[in-house]
Amino acid sequence: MKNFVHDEGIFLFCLLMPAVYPLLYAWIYNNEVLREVPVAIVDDSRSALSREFIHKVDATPDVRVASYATSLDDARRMIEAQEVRGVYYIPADLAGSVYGARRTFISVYTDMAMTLQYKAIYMAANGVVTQMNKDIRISRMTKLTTQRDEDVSSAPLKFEEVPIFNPSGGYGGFILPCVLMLVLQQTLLLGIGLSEGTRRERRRLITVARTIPSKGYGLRLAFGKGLAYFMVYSVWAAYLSLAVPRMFGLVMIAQWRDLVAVMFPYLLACIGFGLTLSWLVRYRENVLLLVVFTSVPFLLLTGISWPLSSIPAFWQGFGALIPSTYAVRAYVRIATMGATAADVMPEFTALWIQAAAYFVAASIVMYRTRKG
Amino acid sequence: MRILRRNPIYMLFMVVMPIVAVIFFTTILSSGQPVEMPVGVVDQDYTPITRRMARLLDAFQTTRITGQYATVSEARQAVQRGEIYAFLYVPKGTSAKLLASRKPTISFYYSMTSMTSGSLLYRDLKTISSLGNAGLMQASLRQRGATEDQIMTYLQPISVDLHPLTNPALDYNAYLSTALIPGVLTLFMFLLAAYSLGTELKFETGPNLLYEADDNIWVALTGKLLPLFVISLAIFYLYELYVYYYLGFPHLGGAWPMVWLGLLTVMASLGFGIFMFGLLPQLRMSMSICSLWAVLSFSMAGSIFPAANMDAPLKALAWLFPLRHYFMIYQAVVFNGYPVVGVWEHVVALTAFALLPLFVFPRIKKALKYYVYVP
Repeated sequence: MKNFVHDEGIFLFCLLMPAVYPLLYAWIYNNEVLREVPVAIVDDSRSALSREFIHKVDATPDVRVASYATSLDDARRMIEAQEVRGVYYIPADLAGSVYGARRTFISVYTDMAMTLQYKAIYMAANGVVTQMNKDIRISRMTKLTTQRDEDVSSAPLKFEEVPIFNPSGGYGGFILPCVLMLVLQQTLLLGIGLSEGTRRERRRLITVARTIPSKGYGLRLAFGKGLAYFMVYSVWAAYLSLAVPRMFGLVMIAQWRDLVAVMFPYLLACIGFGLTLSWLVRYRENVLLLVVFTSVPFLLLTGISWPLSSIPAFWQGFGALIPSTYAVRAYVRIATMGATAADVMPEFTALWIQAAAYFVAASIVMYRTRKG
Repeated sequence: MRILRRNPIYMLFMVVMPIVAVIFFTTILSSGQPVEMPVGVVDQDYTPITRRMARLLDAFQTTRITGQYATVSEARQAVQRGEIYAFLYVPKGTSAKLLASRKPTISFYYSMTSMTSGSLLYRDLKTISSLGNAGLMQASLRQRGATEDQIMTYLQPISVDLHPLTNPALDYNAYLSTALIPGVLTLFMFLLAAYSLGTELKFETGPNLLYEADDNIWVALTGKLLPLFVISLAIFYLYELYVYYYLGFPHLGGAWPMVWLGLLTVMASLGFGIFMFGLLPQLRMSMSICSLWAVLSFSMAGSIFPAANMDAPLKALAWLFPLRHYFMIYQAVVFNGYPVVGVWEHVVALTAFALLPLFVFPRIKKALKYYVYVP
């Protein structure tokens, strides 16, 4: 326990990081969706219809008409100078074609460097044009009389789209739950690695094997250490899984029993995993090199940001070794989708298996390092 | 030099791990776009018309119908269990209403907790709903004797014509890998720069190093970091060679920008690591700060969620992350092939990072000479 406060490194990773990191991430993704992506307009038509399009697009929350260009070349220069992210080109014959009953196109030019920006620009134009098309169709239906007639014949079938779970479609609401769970695991790995590394270095300096190894020694040591980490981290687990989502207004519809049921084996699995990994750490600082870079790969392996069905089997198998893989899946479903413990049974059992297996491995590691 | 061979850590993290990371990201994202994502159908009407709609959905590349559910709540539970990402709900009497022109409603429920799958499924749904409607209208117009051309003009007087200037295939691999892999590479460079200097303190070889370099900090540091620099640069070029020429990611800028951008990024990253060590001449603290910085870089780079849409203070903070500048230059100059002028301020920033160590050379010298390692 004393080690926690006295050692700056462990203090940083076990106490400061779990507290500060989630807040930082929540702040970064606070704005959730893209608003007002700057675009340029090339209006060769200069008609009432083209102005209608421009006004309506500008009025969408997705894009903002930042400037007008005289030609496509001009607009291209604006993209190159990073002033705008896309261009809407309205051809000269827009109004003529529409009233003369010919088809016409509004062109969207955008570079594809950022998916979310491309999506905002394209969706905004598409939405506006769909609406305008419907109006044009209705204006042509002189024979129809009632509004209901117009409505039915312009769209005989109504499609309703219902985003269930994370309904705002925000980026933060999607990525933050994963990040919260990962912070828990990564800081634990770092903290355990650092303190185990220190102990090993110290021992080399001071004494060799003060205690005589007795039967079941490794197991007892693993459990003793595990318990210490568990005490500190159950506080963090509660903070990360409950308090932070509340603070930033993330969707949080979990039942506390289900949450506890998942977090308990998750913490155990992480601690066991950390103690086992400490076997690889010769000098305490090496653990930083080993653990830090894995954060992003672990995030991908959870199958939340990249659909599980598209992850190659080999990496899926690798992901099965990592506690966060299952914990993130279970937590996301429980917290933002309102699943119950029964719904996440496979993840739940996987976490328990991991916890058990890693504790056995950790005991062996403890036993051997003490002996050797 | 000897240290390189003695401590396997260097080889492991300078060469092996970066290669593993490159392979990891490019293979995991190798499908480019998620395909065949599982979706469900709740068809309570079950007529030829509704079955045709379900088949239409199944025919899309991104979706695959994996289950039929009796009720909406059953399907919702399947979503909660993670079996499907979305489902189509066709209520009873849809076909009858359709034939009687009473405008029935079909619902498509999709989960946005997984952003990539959610938005792709949403796109499919949009296509289906317009196809479905267009199909029905087409049929009724054809009965009135309209030609194909007239029908299309009627249905879509104006259409939106998308010209993706680069990466027309919307390959997610090219988006994500090109931001994440350099992130991992800079992370290693940050840490190794601090690590290699810090271990001098730890094993109390600092005075020795200075002695060999005739008490000249320039010579000492150059000798110490040159191998790291050369190998890191080689790895970075190897990565670029692999993704742009072997995997064929879009690189309209050609080879030159890659070469100077690679050089600049490696120098800036190592520079940052050395600077951090100079500020906090202690192995543990400098490495901790470097790792915090590097992990945050992934978000602050703004490759997925653009930095332009973050809160103002964060936008300003983003300038402190080398990866952010790398990404801005990369997307403009390498990916799109635009002239460098548009992103000149980021080039300046990266150069500044590369020059940062110059300010802390005296501090490092003092540290190497006098400081003792405190565990």
